[in-house]
Amino acid sequence: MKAEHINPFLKSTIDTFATMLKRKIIPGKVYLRTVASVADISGVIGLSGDIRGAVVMAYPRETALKVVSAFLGENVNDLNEVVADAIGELTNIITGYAKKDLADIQMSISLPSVIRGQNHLVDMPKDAPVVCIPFGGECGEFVIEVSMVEKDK
Amino acid sequence: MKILLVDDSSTMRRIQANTLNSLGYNDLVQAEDGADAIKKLRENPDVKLVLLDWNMPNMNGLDCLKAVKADPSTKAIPVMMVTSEAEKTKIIEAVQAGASNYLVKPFDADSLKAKITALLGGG
Repeated sequence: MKAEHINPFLKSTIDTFATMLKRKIIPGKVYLRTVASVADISGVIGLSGDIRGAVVMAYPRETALKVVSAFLGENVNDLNEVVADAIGELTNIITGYAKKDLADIQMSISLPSVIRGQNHLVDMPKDAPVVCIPFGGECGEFVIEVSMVEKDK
Repeated sequence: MKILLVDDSSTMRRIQANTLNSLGYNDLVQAEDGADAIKKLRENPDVKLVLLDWNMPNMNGLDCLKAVKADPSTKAIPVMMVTSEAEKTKIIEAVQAGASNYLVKPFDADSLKAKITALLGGG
């Protein structure tokens, strides 16, 4: 995976939070995953086409509640189905927006899936590096994990 | 004035409904995919505007748009795509299929308000 393939996800996440949530988020240092991010709720989208891979947005409970409250414009206090749908849609919007800036890759994105469960891990394909983009800011900390590998490799 | 919101995400339908309510549009019908949208249009012939997502299970937004525009009883209803499909080719494809307007996610509430107001002639 090339470095220029990560920047669209960085930009897309910052722009989406600024536009739809009116929240400023601050990216941390990008790193290669060695162990899975521990989360309480995760949005997952599969990538297919010239590449195969996945995007995972992994949130601790408190961050997810703040994120979804800002997204909906109403307070949520529980990791319920409303929050799950919102986390899935946010993952969908961010991945779709990043795709626009990945014009050199013919890529389709799946409908989002959401995993709920305290301190869960999301496994990724073992044959591809997983790049992690940590974020902080008004909503708390969360991580976006991106794995992309060219199909013929 | 009745408006149909079509999105598989209840979150997006909720956000759109809140925006429409703030503009004074309270007569809303919701559908969770393209097939459901066609059904809701048959049940609600007085719908005046459709907000339509693209990527949905069962029937996607583009196929739904084509079906709406192919039906003499619904083809005059303006349809605005509200979607994360942001590539120019997709926008052109939707406009050629009959979309009256196109709003890319992420959007802010003001953009949604402005486009709805333009389509409905000032609310």
